[in-house]
Amino acid sequence: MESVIQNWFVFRVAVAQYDELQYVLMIIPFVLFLELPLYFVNWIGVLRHYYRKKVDTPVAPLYFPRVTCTITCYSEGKAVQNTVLSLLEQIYSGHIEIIAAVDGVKKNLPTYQALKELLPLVKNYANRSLVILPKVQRGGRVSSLNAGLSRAQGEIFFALDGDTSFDNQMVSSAIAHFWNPNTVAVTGPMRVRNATDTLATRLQELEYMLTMQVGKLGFTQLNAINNVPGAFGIFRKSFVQKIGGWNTGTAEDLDMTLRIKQYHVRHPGLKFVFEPNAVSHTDVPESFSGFLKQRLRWDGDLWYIYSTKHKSGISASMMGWNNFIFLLWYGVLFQIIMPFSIVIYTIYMAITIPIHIFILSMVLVYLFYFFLVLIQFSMYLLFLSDRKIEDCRAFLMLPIYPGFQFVARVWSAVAILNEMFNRGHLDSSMAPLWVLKKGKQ
Amino acid sequence: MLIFFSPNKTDLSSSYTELFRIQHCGDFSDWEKSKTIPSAFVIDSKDAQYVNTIVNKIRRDHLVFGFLCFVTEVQPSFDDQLLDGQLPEPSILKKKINDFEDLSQSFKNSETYITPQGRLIKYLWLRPEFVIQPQKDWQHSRYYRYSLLDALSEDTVDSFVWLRKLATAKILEPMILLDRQRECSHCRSSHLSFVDTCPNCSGIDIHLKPSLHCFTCGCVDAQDKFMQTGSLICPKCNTHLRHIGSDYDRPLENYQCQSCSHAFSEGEVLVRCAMCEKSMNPDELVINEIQNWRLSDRGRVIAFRGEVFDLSSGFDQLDFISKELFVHDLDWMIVLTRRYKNISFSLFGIYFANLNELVDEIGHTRVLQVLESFAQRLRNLLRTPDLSARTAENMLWLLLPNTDKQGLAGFHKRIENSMGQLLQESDQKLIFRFCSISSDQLSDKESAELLLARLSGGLL
Repeated sequence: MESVIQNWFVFRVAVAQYDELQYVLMIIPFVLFLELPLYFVNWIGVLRHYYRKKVDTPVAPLYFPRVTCTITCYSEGKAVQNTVLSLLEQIYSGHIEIIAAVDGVKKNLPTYQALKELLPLVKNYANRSLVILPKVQRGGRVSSLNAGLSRAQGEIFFALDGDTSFDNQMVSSAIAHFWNPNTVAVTGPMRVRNATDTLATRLQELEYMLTMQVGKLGFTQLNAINNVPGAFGIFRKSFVQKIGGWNTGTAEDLDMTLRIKQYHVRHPGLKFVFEPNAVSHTDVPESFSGFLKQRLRWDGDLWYIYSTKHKSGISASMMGWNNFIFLLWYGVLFQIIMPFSIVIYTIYMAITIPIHIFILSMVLVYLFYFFLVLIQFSMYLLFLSDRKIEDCRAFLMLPIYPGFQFVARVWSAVAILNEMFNRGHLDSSMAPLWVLKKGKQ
Repeated sequence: MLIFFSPNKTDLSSSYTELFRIQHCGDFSDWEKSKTIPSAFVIDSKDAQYVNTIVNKIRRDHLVFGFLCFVTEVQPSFDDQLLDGQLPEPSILKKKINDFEDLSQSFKNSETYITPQGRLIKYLWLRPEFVIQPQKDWQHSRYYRYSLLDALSEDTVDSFVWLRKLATAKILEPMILLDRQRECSHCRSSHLSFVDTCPNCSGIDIHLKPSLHCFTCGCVDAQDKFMQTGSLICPKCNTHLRHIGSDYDRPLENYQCQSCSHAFSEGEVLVRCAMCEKSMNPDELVINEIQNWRLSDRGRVIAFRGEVFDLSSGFDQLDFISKELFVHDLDWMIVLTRRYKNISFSLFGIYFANLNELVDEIGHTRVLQVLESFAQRLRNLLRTPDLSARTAENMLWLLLPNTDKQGLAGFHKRIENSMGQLLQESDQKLIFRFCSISSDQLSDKESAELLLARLSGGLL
């Protein structure tokens, strides 16, 4: 104990010698005001969810509408069978119509063949049907979703990815929310299927737990979900049809989310729901380069969507103050400005203050984030996780996670710059260039 | 003259009446009273039953089965295998009839044409482009039938059996494979039904029963046993089964027999014949290939020569072995002599260059006699272990074991002597050539196929 106190004194004396320490202290309000509120919102959301789960009587409405699951397939090959199989396996007494749209079918014959192999299996399942939609002309994800939408016979439309599979209670737990006629979109936790493959996938697994699960749950409690992900979005079909389906261009999921939000003032009842029991499992990039490539697209698309497509849609008069403030804070401040301020601030500190102070401040920042993440992860594990033992392995990643977060933030700035000056949204694997060009530039 | 069948009295246009004499008949029995031999028949009706009845009677009549038979208006329900199509314009009709009569004259009539085979050859000879097509008929036990063959055989034989005989005799040749169907092994019907049965007790009362296999404890049971308040919980270890492939899977045994409770993944398929009501396994079914057919070159030769004969039947006294066996034995002899220098053999070939021409000159009976006496003499020359084979109608091969160069020369001399007699019998007109080789003349790389090809090449 004595040695700790001694060290603390040495530290204070060392710190006191440098006026530049004010720079180190500057980071604290910066973080406090920008980031902490978002974390608090998340934590309150998780606690509120946990409390409700304990207190509320579970409601299981006798509501089993016919649903349509559209799977957008491309070069998944045999892996697409997992997706279809996990949908056939759903514990749901209503009819599940599965539409597998294979984009550019001539190029992706293995995917098409894999789907055809499943056709004889479908008859073994009651109330399930599989339609394979071979699209000869490649049109991208959006065109596959819209093709599925025009053929869908179900009341509820699931927009799913070919490399994502689902727990067998996904449909039933998601459908329960549509009993409320105001619910327009539901999503659920996305878990990383290939988590144990590499270090990169392990880190992304932790990131998905903290952002896709804790983050989305917290935001949804404020009815201000940031995004209904493209790989796993569940919508009321009549509503999506009314607003014209998905729109050309990249980041069609964020575009759809924002367009729905823009009805909030006119229809204040509209609800987004995050259902923790509707679990999906997806594959994430296995290498760091793959991860960076994916984020280059995702983060760049944010700028494209906010600055071009929805320039005039982001207003309090359209989406209400609640969503407007959230979008300014999370979407603009946190996702667009923060990456730059972090980069500029770090470079500024590295140049202006002595190297040991710089390192010291970096250690402080690291510790701050480490504890923040530790709290967030512990809350996740205690109150939210449905596979607690399995998820414990992510503890090992906690010490290096802040570094990973830092790299991701810096990369985010690169992505936004790439979009600003290089129009990166036109370089997407989600659709051919001629389709992307038809989007609002 | 045109025989004009029509249920109602109608008149053909004057352009026909100017060129042809017309005789009206209400139905076939009207014509049978007079049995007038026409240039062609014309049937004027839209009633398929009327048209098909008349044309079937024409094709079954021994006198007029081969005559041209037109309809005034073609309908899909008419049996087009028996008809010659729509009645053409008078001038074209005239030409068609002339062509038909030319072919009819060049056709060599003989008494063989009282048989169905003779009638078929004649029918096809008179229609050079004709293709025998099968027709689909669900009421027919074989599903496919050949109406022309039925008519010409007067329904006395099964078309498929007859076709096989005609193909073996090389009178008809197949053109295109149209279908391949499975038939009952007992009655050859293609009206079959397939039913899944229990592999244990052969009962048909089987049903799909979904079951699960828990990965945690290995429990396999019916899906209902796992269902608890809307989720799958293993009844043994209480694990919550969430995702197929990682928590649980489906065992392959999907079916259960209601009679014996046996669980299995795939039922056994049993075939039942709707005609003879016998049951069998699918692999017992007989495969029948449905083809369309036309008259072969050989069939045409028969049509204008008038007789069916096989020149090579003159050699029947020589016990030929098959070409494959001959080649095999020759190969073996080559290998043998290569290894053991004290063993030798010789190969002797006889080629008849002008058998077909000789038939035209002295008649095929004489040729057969000549060949038969040659074969008789040749047989006397051969020893018991000598082998003979025929690789073509006019090419004979003899394999003479234990015969060296000298032995071969002796054999050559003897066979030439007997050939001299053959020449006398055939008025010195038979052209034949010999080729021979003994084992010591063989090169190291020789094989039987090559040797035969090389020697016969030298003869042509």
